[in-house]
Order: sequence, then structure tokens, then C-alpha cells
Amino acid sequence: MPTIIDTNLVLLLPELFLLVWSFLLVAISFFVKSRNHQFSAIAALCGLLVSIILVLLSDYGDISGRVFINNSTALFFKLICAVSAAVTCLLMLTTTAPQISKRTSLMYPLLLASTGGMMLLAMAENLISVFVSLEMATLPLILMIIITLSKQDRPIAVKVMLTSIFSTVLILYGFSFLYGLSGSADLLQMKINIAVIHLTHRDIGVVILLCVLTLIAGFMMKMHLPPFHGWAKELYRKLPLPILAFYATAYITVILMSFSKVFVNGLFAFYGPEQLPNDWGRLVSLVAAGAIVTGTLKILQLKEIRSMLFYLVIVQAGFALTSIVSMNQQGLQSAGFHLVAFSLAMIGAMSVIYSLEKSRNLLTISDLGGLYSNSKPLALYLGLFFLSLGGLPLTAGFVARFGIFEAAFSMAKTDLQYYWMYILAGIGVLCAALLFFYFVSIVFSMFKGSSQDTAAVRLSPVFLTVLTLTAAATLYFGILPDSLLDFSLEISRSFGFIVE
Amino acid sequence: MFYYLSFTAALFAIGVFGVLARRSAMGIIISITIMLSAIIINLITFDRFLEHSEPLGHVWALFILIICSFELLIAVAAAYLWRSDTKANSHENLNLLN
Repeated sequence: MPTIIDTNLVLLLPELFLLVWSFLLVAISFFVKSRNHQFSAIAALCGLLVSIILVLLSDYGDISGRVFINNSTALFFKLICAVSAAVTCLLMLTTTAPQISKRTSLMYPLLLASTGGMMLLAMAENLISVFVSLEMATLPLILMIIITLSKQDRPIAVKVMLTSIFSTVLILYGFSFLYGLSGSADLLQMKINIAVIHLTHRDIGVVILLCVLTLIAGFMMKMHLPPFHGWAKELYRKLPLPILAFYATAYITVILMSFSKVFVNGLFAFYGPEQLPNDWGRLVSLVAAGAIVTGTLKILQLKEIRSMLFYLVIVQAGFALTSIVSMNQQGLQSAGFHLVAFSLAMIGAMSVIYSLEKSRNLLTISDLGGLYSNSKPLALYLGLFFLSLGGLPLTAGFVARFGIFEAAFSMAKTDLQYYWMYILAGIGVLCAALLFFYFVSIVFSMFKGSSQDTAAVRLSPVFLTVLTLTAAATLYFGILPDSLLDFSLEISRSFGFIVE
Repeated sequence: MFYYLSFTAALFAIGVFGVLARRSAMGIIISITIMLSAIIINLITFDRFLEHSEPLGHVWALFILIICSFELLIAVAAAYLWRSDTKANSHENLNLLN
């Protein structure tokens, strides 16, 4: 068994640096009398940039006997988290919201600590390290949310905290059975041990069913998927958009990644129609279909922009689950691509909505009507992000959707017993088409007529930089997706779907 | 081992029922604590009865104790702040599913 002396701590340098930097930021804030908001933001941004450079320079390898593994999959998700946190820092830099600007001494260190936890989670390959890093990612983020919410929103803060603990406890109960059945906390070892136990002991069905149900419920609660989505509705209405952007992109992404690690590795032996009633594939498909249908129907009904963003996150998580449950090389590849495309478009759209919220009273979708008449660049950027979220060809969103449905249909074709994948993919295609027409209609209304609000929207250079970079990446990955597809193919390789 | 696991399953079910049925923050926190006890007993049971090459259950239980008690502490603090703002327990009507 490896000891701490054997531990290759150099591989953990980006995460350790972020955690140390966050403590330093707290210490520095005691000495900087003015508690300068911009100083804290720039210091946090510098820390994140150094961490990104360290991530790009770090070697591949395992740490302390496969507790953490630094491979291309970890690199992929680490970059998503770090870049998302950097963009959040840039957006927070320009904020005038008193909830953020008055509490800078805590906000930025918590953001860095949460990012460090997410990066550790990207490397975790052991149930204990998954649990610890999941908590390291969640706790600072929840603390950030609690201190951002005002006094009137205390019930939301309590609800968020309790839901977070409840979901963690549900996941832990499932983990404890996985550990008991396999005799190991290592995810790869677990894959082998549980497959063997499954062959020799046919009477473990009840335990597996209990384990699968608690794990699915816990992860659904963390990703606020229906029917456990009620607690997050108010959160999306009250939280400042920079923090919401970080929550809806980086956090949901790493939760989806840890979900796929636990299910694809740990419960590999219990996928497929012959495993009924313990087949987690059907249960997760049911969850994905529920998320896609509920989200799409709610989006079509709702008028509020923030509620629309909330259900959009649910729909996108449903699409990602569809690709994970396909359980083939293309499924995990398109899941990675989809998470990048969605994060880019979501961050971009939230940035535009944030800048509009600052200058005018923006509450409903109809307030976006005629946006082009008084703010051409914002209308163009928001149009592009909405079209990518809707899945227009030549944007990254289209490539992601195409990959997801292709993976689902190819899995369905392998055996007649997988007919439910046809149903799931059919529901996905139908809802994607509805969403496409919905977003096209919003974009049409933005470019048609004139806005009632004539106040001009001033864009700061920081905003312009964020919007230009995200828009350029959305278009680039839409027109030339090969580089990102090759990179995300490594995810399939690390899960063992490509044999060298 | 069957009896231990049945006991923890019952304990966990009581906790889940408490979280879903109770409407006060403290009631939910106490229910979560019951669920945590079930998980810890589960891990120790697996270490005690199964011959694992690496008995990590005890270490894991310690991690859970430390991290989750810290989380529960924050939850209690948030609930206390809320209660001191509203000045009355009757205002509490938490439902984690809605």
C-alpha cells in the first residue's frame, strides 16, 4: 500500500496552488484596508491563470496508488472548471451588486477553493477521494451562495444547504454498499470485483437495487433534475448571474462527470436488459427523458428569463445523461463535447443577460424584443448563444446534439432489447426540435421592431472580451469540431471503450 | 451481517422519512444525522465481517464524521440566522422537494 512518501504531489500542484492561493487571499484581505474589490478579483484571476498554466504543463500519472489519476479526461474537465471560474472572476470584476462587492474578502477565496475541489474531483478515481473532493467543491460553493443571498432569502440558503447534505448522504449510502460488495474503494478494481461477485452470488439483487436507487436520487438532487428540482427554482431567481454561471456550468459538469465515473465504472456489470430490475441504464434513461420533457415543456410555457435558464440547465443535463447512458465510445465522446459547447453558450448568454439586467429592468423574454435596435453587438452575441443552445448548424450546439443522438441510435441498433434507447433518442430529437424553433423565434423577436426601453447599454472591455472569446469558440467548434472531438475521445479511452 | 445491514437500512429509512416529512430545519438536520449514523455503521460492518484486503471503512467513516459534521454545523448556523431574523418557529415551512 503506498504511503504519503510515495505520493507524487507534483501532479497535484495546480489544485494545491489554488487552495493555498485562496488562503493567501483571505490573509491579504486583512491587510488591505480598503478591501478593494478590483484588487481581489485580479489577484484571484492571476491565481486561476497560473493554475491553468500548471494544469497544461503537468504530466500524466497516478497519485498515491490510483487515489487520484491525472490523465487526459482529468485535464479536459480541469480546464472546463478553471476557465469557467476565470470567466466568473471577470464577470464579478465588473459587478456593482452589493452582495458581491461588499464581501470580496470571502467571495474570491471561496470561488478558488471550490474550483480546486472541482479539479480534484476531475482526478478522483476512488470512492473516498470522490466523496472528499465532491465536498471540497460543494462546500465553498454553497458558502458562496449563502453569503450572497440577502436576509430575506435566508429560507433559500437553508434549503440549499440542507438539500446539499441530504443528496451527499444519499450518495454515501450507495457508496457504502459499493464498497461492501467489491471490497475496494478503487473504481477500476470495483468494476472487476462487482462483475465477479455478480456471477458468483446471484442473490445480491436487492442490495444493488437499493444502491442504484440511492445513487441516482443523490446525483439527481445535486443536479436539480426532476422531480427533485423544486429547491433550486428560487435560487436561480435570486443569485447574481456571475455566480449562477459558475454553478450552472462548472459544477453541473463535474457532477455529471463523477456520475459517469461511478456508474460506468462501478456499476458496469449492472447495465443491460438482462439485469432487470437492477439495470441502471433504464432508470437513468427514465431520468434523462423526464428531465428533457419537463424542461422543454416548462421552457415553452414560461415567460421569465431566469426560469428559462433554470429549465435549460435541466434539459442540457438530460441530453448529457442520454449520451452517458448510450454506453459506447461515441456516447462518452459526445458527452464531453456537449458539456464544453453548453458551458460556452451558457456563460455567453448569462453574460449578455447580466449586462442587460444591470442597465434595464429585464425580467421576461418579451423584454428582449427589439434588442437589435438599441444594442446591436449584444443582440448579435445573444442571438448566437441562443442559436447554439437551440442547436443551429454551424454552431457547437448542433455538433453536440448530433453526436448525442447518433450515439443513442447506434446503441439502440445493437440489440432489439435496447428498444428503449429508440424511445429516449426519439424524445430527445423531438424536444431538441421544439427548443430550436423556440430559440429561433426569440432571436427573430430580438431583431424585429424596436425596443420600448431606449436606454443604451454600455459594454465594458471586460464584457466584450468574454463575449468575443465565448462566441469565437462556439463558432470555431461548430465549424471545425475535430480538435475538440479528438480531445473528448480520450474520455471514451479512459473509460475503456477504446481498446488499443 | 444480515441483522446489522437490516438495522442500518431501517435507520436510513427513518432518516429519509424524517427529511421528507419534517418541516423545520432542525428536524431535518436531526434526520440527516440519523442517516449518517446508518452509513457509518454500514461501513464498519463491512470492515468487520468481510475480509477485505484494504479495510478502508474505518478511515472513510472518520472522513464522513469530520466533513459532514462541518456541513451540519453550517446548516445549523444558517437555520439559526433565519430563525433569529423571523423571530418565530412557526415561519419555518421547509419542503426539500418543492
